Formats: sequence, C-alpha cells, structure tokens
Amino acid sequence: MLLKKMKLENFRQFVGEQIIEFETNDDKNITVILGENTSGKTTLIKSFKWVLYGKTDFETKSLLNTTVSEKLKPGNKENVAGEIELVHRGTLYVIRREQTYFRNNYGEVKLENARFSVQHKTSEGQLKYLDKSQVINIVNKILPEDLSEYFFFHGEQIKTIGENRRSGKKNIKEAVESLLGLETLDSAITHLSRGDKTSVIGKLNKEIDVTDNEELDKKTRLYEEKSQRLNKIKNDIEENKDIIESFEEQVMDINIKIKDNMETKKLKTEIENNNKIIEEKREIKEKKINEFKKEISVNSPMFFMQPLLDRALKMVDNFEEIDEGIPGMEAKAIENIIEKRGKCICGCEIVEGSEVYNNLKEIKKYLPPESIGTIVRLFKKDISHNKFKGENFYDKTFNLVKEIRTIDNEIKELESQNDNYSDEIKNKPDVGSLEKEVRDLNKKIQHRRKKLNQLLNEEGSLEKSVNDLDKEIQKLAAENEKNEFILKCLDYAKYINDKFESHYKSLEKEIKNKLEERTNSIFNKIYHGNRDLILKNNYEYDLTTTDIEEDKSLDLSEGLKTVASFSFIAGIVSLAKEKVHDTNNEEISQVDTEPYPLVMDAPFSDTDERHVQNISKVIPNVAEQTIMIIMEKDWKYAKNVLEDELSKIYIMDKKKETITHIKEVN
Amino acid sequence: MKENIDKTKVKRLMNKIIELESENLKTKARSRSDMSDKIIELIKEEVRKCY
Repeated sequence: MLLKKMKLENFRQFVGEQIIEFETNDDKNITVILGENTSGKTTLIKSFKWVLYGKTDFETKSLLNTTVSEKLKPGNKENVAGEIELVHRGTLYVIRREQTYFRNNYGEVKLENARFSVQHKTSEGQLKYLDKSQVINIVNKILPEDLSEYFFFHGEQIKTIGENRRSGKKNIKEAVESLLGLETLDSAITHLSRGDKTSVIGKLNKEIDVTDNEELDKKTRLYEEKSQRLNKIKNDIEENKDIIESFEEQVMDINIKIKDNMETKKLKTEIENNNKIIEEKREIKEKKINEFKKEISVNSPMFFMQPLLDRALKMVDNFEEIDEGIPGMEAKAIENIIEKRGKCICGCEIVEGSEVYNNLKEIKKYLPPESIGTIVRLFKKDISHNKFKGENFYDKTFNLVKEIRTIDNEIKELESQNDNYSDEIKNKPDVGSLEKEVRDLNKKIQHRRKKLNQLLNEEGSLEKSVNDLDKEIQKLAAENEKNEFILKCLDYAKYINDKFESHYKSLEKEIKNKLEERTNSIFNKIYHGNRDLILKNNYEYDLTTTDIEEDKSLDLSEGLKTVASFSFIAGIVSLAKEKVHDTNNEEISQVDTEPYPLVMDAPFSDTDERHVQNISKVIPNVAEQTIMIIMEKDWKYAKNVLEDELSKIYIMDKKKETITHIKEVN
Repeated sequence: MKENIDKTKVKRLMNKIIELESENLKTKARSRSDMSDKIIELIKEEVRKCY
C-alpha cells in the first residue's frame, strides 16, 4: 500500500478543502509537512485513521471545524469528509468517509448521516464503487487496523511502541507475525490441531467409526476426556505464564517508580522528623508561656511598684537610726515575762515599781507592735526583697518573650520547610505503599510459579498418555475397513500440522534473526554510542552494552528510547518489504509481501541534532514511502540529508486556533 | 504414516490451506469452526483423489 492523495474537508482545524499529494516515485519518496505546535500535526495523522477505520480519540468529540460549526444556522447542514487515494497490489483505491452535522431548532449541533465508500480502478481504467459488504473487508485487506499504528504514528507513541511492556508486546508479536507471514501459519496450526472439538484433527477423530468395537469406543472416549483435560491444562499454563509475566512487569514498573521516588521517600522522612521537632518545640513554648504568665501574675506588681518602693524606702531610711528594739522580740514576750513568769530571764524577781520592772516596761515600748522602728525595719526588708523581684521581673519576662519568639520562628521555619517538601512530593506516589505492593506481587508470583510447575508436570504425563491412546486408537480403528478413509485423512492432517509447526519454528527463528540484524544495523547507523539492541522472545528488545561507562547509565534517556523504538519499527517495516524464506521448507509457498508507507508525526521528538540527521539518513532506505509531519526546527537538521529523496514539502499555515490551511511550498 | 503420504498431493494441500488462511486473516469471514470444516473438506477432497 502506498499513499497517493489525502483530501480533508472541514476536519477539525482544517477548514474548507485541504489537499496533500504524496509522491510514490521510487527515487523521491519523501513528503514533508511542516507545522508548528498546535497547527494540526497530530490531527493530520489521526485523520488517516478516521478515514480508514472511523476511529478518533479527540478530547472534543465533534470533528466539524469550530468556525464552520459556529456559523451553522438552525436547519442547515455541513459535511466533514476525508478521502484517501492509495495503491495496493497495483490497484488504485479511493476511500472516503463523510459525516454530516446539522443545527437543530434548539441551537444544538447534531450528527446526521455517516457515509463510507471505497472505489477501485478497474482494468478498464474506470473508478467503480465496491459493494457495501466488501468495503470493511477491503480496508482490512489493505491495512489491518491493528497494524496501522506501526505505519501511522506520532512522536509520543514511538517512545512506547517498541517498549518491552506486556500491553504492547502482544501487538508487536502479532504485527511482526502478520507482516512477515507467520500469522498465516500460526492460524493454520490452530485450525489443524489446537482444540479437541474445533480442530481438524479433533473433528476427524470424532468421525472414526467405533461401532461393534467396545475397546475402541472406550479408548476413544478416554482419548477425548484426556485431550479435553490436556487442552484445559495448556490454557491454564498459558494463563499462568501470562499472569506471572504481567505481575513481573508490574513489579518492574513499581520498582522504577520506587527508584524515581526515593527522593520523595527522603523528603517524607524529613517531614516526619520536622514534625517531631515541631511538637517538642511546641511543648517547650507552652512551658515558657506558663512561666511567663506566672511571672506576670506574681512579680508584675513589684515591677510596676518600683518607683513607689523607691520613694517609700527613701522615706523610711531615717527610722533605722532610732530603732532600739531587740531583734526578734515582740512586746508580748515582755508581757509574758512580767505577768506570767514574774521573773526575768536573768533570774531577778519582777515586782511592780522595781528597777527591773521599769526597765522591762521601757524596753517593751521599742518592741512590736508598738515599735515603729521594728516595723520600719521589717518594712524595709520586705521592700528590698520585693524590689529585687521587681528588678528581675523585666529581665526574666524579656528573656522569656525572646525565647518564645525564637521557638515560634523555629517552628515557622520548620513548617515552611515542610510545606515546600509537601509541594515537592504532592501527587507523587507513596514509596512505602509501593514497596508493600511489590512484596504482595512477589508473593503472588511465587504462588503462580508453584501452580505453573504442577501444571507443567501434569501436561507432560497427559501428553504421553494422549499419544499412547492415539496410537492404540489408530491400531484398533484400522481393524475396521470403514475407517480406512478417515484414518488416511487424519494422517494427512497430522503430517501437514507437523510440517507447519516445524516450518513455523524455523521461519520464526529466521525472522527473529533477520529482524535483530536489521534493527541493529539501523540502530547503529543512528545511535552514536556503544550499545546493541538484543531481540528476545516475543520480540521484546533490550539495549545492552559492553562499555562500562555506558553501563553505568543504563537508564534510557527519552532520546535513546526514541532512537531504539524507531530502529525497531524501521526494522519491521524494512523487513516487511522483503520475503523471508525458510530454506528448509521449499514445499510451502511464501506469503507475498507489500510495501508500506511510514507516516510519522514528530519522529525526532527528544532526539538531538546528530540523531535527527542519522534518522534522516536511514528513513529513505527503510520504507518505500515516507511522510513526515515535523516542526521547522527539526527540519532544519534533516533537510540537508533528505533533500535528494524529497519530493514535496507542504506547510501547515495556522491562521488561528481553529483554522489551518495546508499549502504546498515550491 | 509418512510412507502413506503422497508428497505432491500434500504440497498442493498445504498451499491451499495457506491460501485459505491468508484470505481469512484479511477478510475474517470464517469462524474457527468453519475454517476447520473447510480444511477438512480440502483434505478429504485430496485424499479421495488417490483413494
């Protein structure tokens, strides 16, 4: 299949009729379409898939150009259409898809008729419409939808298309097998031998006449029973393998996420540590606040009374000189001596009017409560004490406030640090739960492996007994002349099945080797490092290196991923042009191959200047027709290399967000 | 078993089956069971010729 022309009418931003003609000339087979971001590069790629398969994945569903849609008056209609002209196996086809939109009286734009038609050029040179029942089949004949993504792809897709991920792997295996002719053999083997009820061999076995032969009847029933069990076991084995593989890929994906998020884990620990420190600091702050409150309630009066205390102290200062009292003694003590004891502490009798009596009465005058001197002295003592407290109050409260403020600032700083960390890890997975997921998955893998081993053992013993039974049945059936024909048919079916199986294995090996060789040859022309691309089973690929320095950086950059994927796809496309021969099986005719175009949007995304030039050198040799939709900045590097093979250049002229025109550049 | 197989007939049969499979992969017109029946028909037809 080679593309001749693409016509779009009011498809998304391509307002009115836009036409691109592609060159199919052997020498000049490259068409370049230049377009800046948002000019419609990816839309153009998607338009091919819409025309061929009626599928789109735009966020806004309507395909009708927004400007046209806005101008649509109630009751009026507008068409969106796409038309592809292509040549397949020497025949020209015109494939057209149309969708009508109309505005109803409520102002809503609704879908109306959709039409899909395929015309082909007859040997008389006239275009003739194919019957409706044929149109879907013919498109699938030209390019099966499943395979289309290998020929129409955009830059982001190329990074994942060849990745060894399970989701894509099955597609890759099927695509390679289909393009290189293996799918036909695989399908034939399925119909010949896979399934005891639906397969050729299964059905022929059922035709064996078992009447009048109890032993044969018994063995046939047992054979059926064991074959059914064997088929179930085989399915279970495949299912278990698939599940194990899927779990292993999940583990791999999660491990990558864990690795990518180790910094997140570190930041999370940092946040937790900060929270602990914040908590401790809050407790200290609380204590300091309580201390401050206590200081205020107890000592603040002394502080505010300082001037008053100073003045009072000054006033009572002179009283000290006239104080004749006895420290520690109060008037009540003298009264007690005179009135109750009647004797002085020196032993003298105390008689009223005596000298001792009079002396004591005199001393009593200077003792509290009557003695002002003592009161003053005590007052001064109190003042001094309270003055000390008052004087310390300021320093103490000042220091407490200072400490509380410092703690507050420290808490704020830690909280702001945590906010920053939280922003950094926002929307990032929790490494702890990812690690748990890996542990759980590994347990499941172990369980499935155990189950798989049991199934494999059972499969081995069942296969042996099914084969033994088959031989016995053949022998018993041959005793009846009526079975001669059906046994002969079975011989042919089994012989052909064996031939196909061995042909499949040898062709598969041949294809794998050739594909690896071709992919590496392309990869080495593009990549300027020291790596090799190794193709594994199921067409997975790995990049290896013997260079220690390169080995250290085995994390693939986006650019390298693009180069590896491009090489892989280019290898497939390039090999699809050729017949892959199984030299050991000349009996089986080879499946015809057909050239295919490569239609690429942003094939150079994430690659550097040198890779752009290297990919450009490879492109003309890979596909028989290449259509590149790229940005001018990339074209700058590719231009010099591709100029000789270049047939046409178009430019996407973006007038505004909803309007792009496609023009040929002379 | 192998000694009963006519190499020319088997080659013709194999090519017919490949052609049938190749066509069906493109058109997806026949179901799995239909395909087995069609192959049985081809085998029987070929075996009958030498029978």
